[in-house]
Amino acid sequence: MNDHDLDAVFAQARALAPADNGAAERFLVGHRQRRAQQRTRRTGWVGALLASAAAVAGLTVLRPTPELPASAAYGAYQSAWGDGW
Amino acid sequence: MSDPPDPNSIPLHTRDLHPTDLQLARLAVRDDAAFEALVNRHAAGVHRLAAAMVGPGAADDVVQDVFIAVHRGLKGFRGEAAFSTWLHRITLNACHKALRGKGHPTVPLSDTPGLAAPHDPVHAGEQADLRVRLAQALHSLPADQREAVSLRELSGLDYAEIAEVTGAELGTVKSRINRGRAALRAYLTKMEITP
Repeated sequence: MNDHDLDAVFAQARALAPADNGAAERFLVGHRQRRAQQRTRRTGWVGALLASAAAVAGLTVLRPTPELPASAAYGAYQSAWGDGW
Repeated sequence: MSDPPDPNSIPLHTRDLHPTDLQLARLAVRDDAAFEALVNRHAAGVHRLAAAMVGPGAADDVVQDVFIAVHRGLKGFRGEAAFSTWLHRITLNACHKALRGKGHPTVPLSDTPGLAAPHDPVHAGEQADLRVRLAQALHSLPADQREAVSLRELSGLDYAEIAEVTGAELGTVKSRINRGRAALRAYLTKMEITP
């Protein structure tokens, strides 16, 4: 085999085949599926996060106000002067 | 008078029909259409190079590895090197990975019947067979010669581009190609492979 023959082999191998031309579409089919799955997963996370935030906010707003504990000073007056000082 | 808009901020569908690779790469970070345009532009060349380096049966796996790597790496691609240079480097790495059998099952190069790509029409069978044998022949070369010869003879890169992709000096590239071609001639003669 001489240089010319080797060039001919490379030229034959270099010519674009149908398998080469279809490579983009074969890749993109899988790529689009992967992207759609990523988006679905992301949407799920965002939804769960929003739901959690809403639940926390709801609990915070709707929780009944606890009675304030009596202070130590109030307790001292109460015991010294009795009720209604 | 207002400044002209940054071309990279304009959605792909409203821009000129022939954006450069760099424009597409910048857009593709957040625009699926731009990424698909890059894939449509370059996948055939990547597949061709892979088919002749690792065999047609493993070429689709290489294409997938390459464009997944491209998609992940787009944010970090600054355009300091040409997109083509970056893409060829990624492709060579993916081919090495396939040849080492890491990451996904590699079809043995000697297992010819399994190597035909599923979409090959019958008339492309001879070419697929030639690529299998060429992949075997290229596999017999040292990695640096295999890279240089493949980039030159299959991707059509010039010496300067090959030097940039491989990080070698221009003289080294020429020497690798000459030695690689001589070794290939000897191998193909021994295997009685003719064009």
